[in-house]
Amino acid sequence: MRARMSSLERRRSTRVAAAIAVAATAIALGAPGGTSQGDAADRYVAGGPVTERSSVAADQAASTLALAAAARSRLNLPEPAMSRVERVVDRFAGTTYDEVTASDRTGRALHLERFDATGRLIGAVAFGWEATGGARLANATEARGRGDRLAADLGLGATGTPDVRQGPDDSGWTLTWPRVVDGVQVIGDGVRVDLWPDGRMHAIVRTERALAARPAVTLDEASARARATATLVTMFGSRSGQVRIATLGLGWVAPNNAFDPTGPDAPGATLRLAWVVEARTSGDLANGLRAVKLFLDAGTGTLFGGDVLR
Amino acid sequence: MSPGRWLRSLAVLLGTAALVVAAAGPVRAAYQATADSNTTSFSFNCTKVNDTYPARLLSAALAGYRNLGYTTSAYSGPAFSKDQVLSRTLNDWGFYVHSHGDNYLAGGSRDYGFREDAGLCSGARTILARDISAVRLGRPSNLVIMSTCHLGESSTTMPAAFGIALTKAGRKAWAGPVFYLGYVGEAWDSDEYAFETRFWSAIGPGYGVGQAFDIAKLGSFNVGFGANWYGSYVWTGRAGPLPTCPNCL
Repeated sequence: MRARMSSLERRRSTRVAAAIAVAATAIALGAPGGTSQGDAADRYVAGGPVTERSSVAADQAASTLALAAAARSRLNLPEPAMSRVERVVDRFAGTTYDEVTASDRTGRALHLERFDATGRLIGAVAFGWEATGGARLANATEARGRGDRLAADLGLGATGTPDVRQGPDDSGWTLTWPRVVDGVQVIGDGVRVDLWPDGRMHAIVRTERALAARPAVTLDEASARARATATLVTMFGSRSGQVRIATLGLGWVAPNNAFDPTGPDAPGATLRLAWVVEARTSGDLANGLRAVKLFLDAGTGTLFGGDVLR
Repeated sequence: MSPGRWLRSLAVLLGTAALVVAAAGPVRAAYQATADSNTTSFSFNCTKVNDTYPARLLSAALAGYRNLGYTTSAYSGPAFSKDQVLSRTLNDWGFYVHSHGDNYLAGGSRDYGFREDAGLCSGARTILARDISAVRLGRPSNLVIMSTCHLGESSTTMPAAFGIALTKAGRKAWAGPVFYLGYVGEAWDSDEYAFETRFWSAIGPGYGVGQAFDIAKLGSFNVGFGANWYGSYVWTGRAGPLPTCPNCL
């Protein structure tokens, strides 16, 4: 008995030693590790994961799969062999949605659809590169017609005249309907539809972020321009003569820390009304910096973010 | 323990280690990547305010390349210079840059390129595709990302400098373990940041670089923002000369 125990202990010790050796070899040679889902913090940190994924309850999964099937039918996407539903927290955008990933028999992802808490389609993409297909859309007018029909059929709430652009290398078309609230554009929000050259859907995005309350009093344009000019002088000092305001207008924008290295790495999830100022550069300053945007609080003129064009 | 048992144990151990190595993919060799970001030209030293995007973009790129198995070094400020780029490029399997990019007029002809940082407020030199080509001489690369304006346009010469053809190999095609990402026209830093964070985050089991590119497009951008790619849609992005995607091809 004692001899048998010793033998078992020796074998166990050998297995443990072997496991440690293999693990050490793997670590030394660079086997992939990675951050587990549980390590993720609430806020996005540059270089960290953007999303946190979890399973959804069976009844919720069933209703989401039904939504995906309906969307798939309208989009003429191929029937998958299997579908996976996940609850996704987007820590960069500060949003949560349910995502359905459709795969073929080999497990290769074919397409995905995203739905918000109310069941609205907020994103879809058909994976792959399919530049060749049916008859090509002849021009921007045809692309717009196709995009209009698709947006209406899917109930995307796209209104107004879209911005229509042809992709590089004849890769298709992108149509964008910016969101406008009380005559003011919500920058980055709206509906965007990417079409393959033959008009099939490549991708759809619908973004509608929360808006903060409007300020009780809005600075007039002249006051905003004066505030912007003063801010640019402060920012650029002796080189401010090489910076000129190109456009200035009201817009809803996500607060960010473009000029504050101590702030969060992701933009704010609730948009604020701002005077959005775009200033273009000239002279030697333009060799490294094309333009800068300032987000000035529409009520107070305080700088709460911006953007940079290198 | 007899010599025979020792040898058998050693063989089992080595065999198991080999399986772990094989499962991890061919990333053991030091596949070098360089990540450069221009932090100086819009910093407190040159203006009266710091632009925070370059450092954040660099952090994201550094993590992204390391997750894919590249031995990655990051450079910014005076360390990101034309001399540094050209001295490292021959051994770069991965290359990332965030800076001012354009189709510059130089030496009587135009060529796509980007500006060094070099810690200079003005007078930074350009690093052209032909400068890189002259060093690499057709040597292949893996993952190249030009986080600049213009270098993703159809006429860009930068992919060729890294041995990447201006082709898009889709799901049933293969252009080798290569992927080039760039932007079309003028691209604001906020858009590049939003796109790249999603791109890096999407790469993983079952999702190669092409799928990550498609997922990255599902973000919120300024109207007119455009990203472009060349290479193999189905590739994993992992360092090395061999394809490593189990769901590809």
